[in-house]
Amino acid sequence: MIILENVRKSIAGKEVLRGISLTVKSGEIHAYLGHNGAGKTTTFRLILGLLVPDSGRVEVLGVDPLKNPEIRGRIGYLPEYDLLYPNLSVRDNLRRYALLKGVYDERGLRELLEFFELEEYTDKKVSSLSSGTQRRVAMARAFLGSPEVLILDEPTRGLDPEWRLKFKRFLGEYARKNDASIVFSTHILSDVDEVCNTVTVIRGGQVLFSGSLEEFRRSAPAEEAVLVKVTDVERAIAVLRKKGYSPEIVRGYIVLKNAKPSEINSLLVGAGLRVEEVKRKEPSLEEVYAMLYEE
Amino acid sequence: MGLTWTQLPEEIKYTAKQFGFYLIGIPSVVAVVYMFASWTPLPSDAIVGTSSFSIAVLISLFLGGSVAKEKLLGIHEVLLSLPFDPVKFISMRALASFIIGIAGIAVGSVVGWFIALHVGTPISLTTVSIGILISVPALFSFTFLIILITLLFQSKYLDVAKLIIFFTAYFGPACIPKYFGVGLSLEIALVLSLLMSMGALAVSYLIIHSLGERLAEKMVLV
Repeated sequence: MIILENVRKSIAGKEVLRGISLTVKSGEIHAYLGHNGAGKTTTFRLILGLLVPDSGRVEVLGVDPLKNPEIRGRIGYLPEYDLLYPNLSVRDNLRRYALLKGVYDERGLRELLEFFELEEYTDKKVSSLSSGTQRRVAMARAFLGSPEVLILDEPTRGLDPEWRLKFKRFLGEYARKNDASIVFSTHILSDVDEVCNTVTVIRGGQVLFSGSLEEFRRSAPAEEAVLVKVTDVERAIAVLRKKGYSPEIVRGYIVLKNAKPSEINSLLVGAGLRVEEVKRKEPSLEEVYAMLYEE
Repeated sequence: MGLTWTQLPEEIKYTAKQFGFYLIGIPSVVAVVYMFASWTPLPSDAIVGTSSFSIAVLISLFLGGSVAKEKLLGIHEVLLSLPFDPVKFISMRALASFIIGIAGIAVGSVVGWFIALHVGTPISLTTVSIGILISVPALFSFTFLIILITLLFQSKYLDVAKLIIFFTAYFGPACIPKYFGVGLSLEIALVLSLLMSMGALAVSYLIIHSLGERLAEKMVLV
């Protein structure tokens, strides 16, 4: 479990965090969102006990990580950049880290190499690998020793869509199996979907939003948009235009802004059209995030 | 869990791997310093005395290079996120580097002894061994201090200062006796090595003590 309570932190005279509170329970995957420079990495470094908070409380697995550095043995950390030894092999990078962390286990290492599809690169120097493969090595490093707490700073940066999906599934399964507290930051909000239970959005070192993913979806004023599916699209568009709407066609749907599903349904049915589907368009997480940030 | 001294062999291995082929630089530098000193009109013990102190400074600067590289790549942040106190990690790193350094100095000293013999300045192997022993305290304490400073500070002035110290130590054993007609006897070199070692450790202690729990923070934020 991770708890941050009203944490303030200034760096070089600038207040980076202004009273941040955050709770990540066991088995929970928490998305920590914000623009660049919002204070995400500073928060992660505080959780790791690398920075000293000016005020407030930081607690990881029941202890202050600053005063109990040994707790870091139960934390997996994936920094924003891979930070691997370029002239060492994949195996040596992982082995060195595991040995220093005190969690070296050949079987566990092999399993991670297998899962992250790194077996063929095991003895290759990291500098010879593609950026996506290097990211997978850094990911494998974070999972060494099956940590109870995971701090992932933009974990899917540089990964292709297939790997992003695979990683999301793995993360969900890992949190459930190990009852782990996972906090991760990302700018790709589709990564948050499906996998995260809770979300915190910060701006300028302050919490803008904190709650469940569902609450997050509902947090921004929803755009009154409607998706319509009809058999006679051309006629439907003509009817809608006549009533002052500006319909657009997206993936077989007629999209209408500033409209209500019931009104549109009545209008089209009244015009003798066969309506197959009318639904309210849910805002994407990107839209919710953008609206929240703009407020 | 955490850092234990049983991990020292691994630390030595990885530090050596990081240097790779460049490790040859340690015995080479030592041999060249011996060669420079043997060209001077100094007696054999003064050649070794003068060289051993310079060698300790040179090699500790060389060994600090691996940490400088890690810092440049940001890897030190990952290492600091491991479950141990940063001072313990620096100590382990300094000790691993020291062992690599002293082995390189031993090899380089033998090569230097051989060169000196051919230049016409025979030095006994006992004197060479004493020279290696003189390097021991200075090598460890300077390596520790250099690693600490490298992790804590980033300044072009610091880099320039390191460069000046490096070249002074490199050419000192040849130039000082040549132009001033003096060198360091084994006794003076030993006393100087011990005094400088204590000074380096005292400075390290003061830095660590003054930063307290902000040591890792300073390393991460620089």
